[in-house]
Amino acid sequence: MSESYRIISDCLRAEFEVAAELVRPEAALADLSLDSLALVELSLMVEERLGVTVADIRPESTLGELAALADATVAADATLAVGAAR
Amino acid sequence: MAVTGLGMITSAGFGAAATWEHFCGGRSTARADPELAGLPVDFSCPVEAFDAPGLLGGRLSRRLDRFSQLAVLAAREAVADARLDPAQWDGARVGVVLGVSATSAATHPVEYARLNAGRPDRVSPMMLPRSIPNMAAGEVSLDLGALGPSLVTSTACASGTTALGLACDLLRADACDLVLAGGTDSARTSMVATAFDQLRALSRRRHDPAGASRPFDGDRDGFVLGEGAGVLVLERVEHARARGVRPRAYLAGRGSSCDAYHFTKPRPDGAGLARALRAALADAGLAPHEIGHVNAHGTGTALNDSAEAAALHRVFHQPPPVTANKSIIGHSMGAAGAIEAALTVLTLQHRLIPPTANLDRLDPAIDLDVVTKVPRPTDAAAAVSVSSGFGGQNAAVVLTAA
Repeated sequence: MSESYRIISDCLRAEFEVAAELVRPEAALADLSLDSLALVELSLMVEERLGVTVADIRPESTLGELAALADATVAADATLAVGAAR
Repeated sequence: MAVTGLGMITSAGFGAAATWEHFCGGRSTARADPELAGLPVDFSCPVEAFDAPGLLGGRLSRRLDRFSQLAVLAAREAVADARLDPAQWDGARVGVVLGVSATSAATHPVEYARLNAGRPDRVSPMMLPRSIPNMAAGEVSLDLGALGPSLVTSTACASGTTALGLACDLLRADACDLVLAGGTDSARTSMVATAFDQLRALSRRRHDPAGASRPFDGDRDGFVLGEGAGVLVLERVEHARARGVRPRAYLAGRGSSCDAYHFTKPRPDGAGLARALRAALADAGLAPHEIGHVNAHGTGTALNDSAEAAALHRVFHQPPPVTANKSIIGHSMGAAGAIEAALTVLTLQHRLIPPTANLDRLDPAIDLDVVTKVPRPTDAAAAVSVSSGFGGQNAAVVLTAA
């Protein structure tokens, strides 16, 4: 699993006390008892730990989709940084 | 009103029993505080580190600012001590009244830093729910299922004592059968320490933190910042009897007043505090000579201690033995009055007055019998606990032995 997935699942287990067996790539955020406030908190936490803003965290997204989105954002950010360095 | 349960989280101990035991030893808890490193005053009386996620759960501990964490933990202890089961009680008849003065030790600095760094998008949505002062009472009500009035009193350093008075009124008005009354604060922040120091209110005894909080001593030079929470379970005597619970003591009367003299300084002649104390005595139906002990506000500032001594001489022909708990745990702001009332309950119960630390030489201008160094046995059947705050706000409660 990607670094993003690991960070997101760590957050859910440690900070939001989601039972470990529920934290799976195919699980939707909506099914983890996270209300809208918790989703905003989660996005800020992921942002702080990954260093990129993950736009558009939606309740119907699965953890796998969210991690893929985060991975793509990290990759785009790295490309931008390389571009800026040139 | 019967006092049937106590909860305390203080720098002297985690829990009422641990706190009491430390107090009888008479040592100050003041020490260098990493939070205040590099400041003109770099010491305080911190509560020992505790496992908040373990005690409260990760989600709740993260949601609560420290002042609310302390309140919830003290309230849980008080409820268990009173042999109450929140799953069984009629929640609509249970109230919560907590004194809060400073608030938001942890939340504001972090969120302001994000905003000032040009990142409003990174400000936590929990900024307000975590930091507003009423959340101390709101979170205790939520945690325990207390569905009655849920209130915060704010009279600066008198907030905790004011809360006990208001709780007493709610019970007398039959608005509640049980009230969890007390106070909480955690103000050990660089800004609060700096601001009090700029007011010249804090002790600057950096070379000797443990000797810094010295109420009524001739060498006192200000108070020491502390933190903590204290909660008392109050109920009408018949209600306690019907539950088959033996009270620890009784809250027999309350009084309050305002100096209306100066925004921070107490009235030097103590007339305002004396008025609150007389009102509390009248409310309890007791004469001054029936009071055997005074739990003083005793901050260790030059102005407070002399004004307080003057107030006691106004009310008492010869003031009974006095102790100043802030010598040991510093000034816990909104929690102070509640913690001091809880310690007064234990004083009456154990028939032992805990000593005032650091009193080596009584200020010659102060004529009080202050209990120093070691606990003093007492046969007091009634005691008073008094508090004064910025704003000239004074509050007093009378406690009687069970």
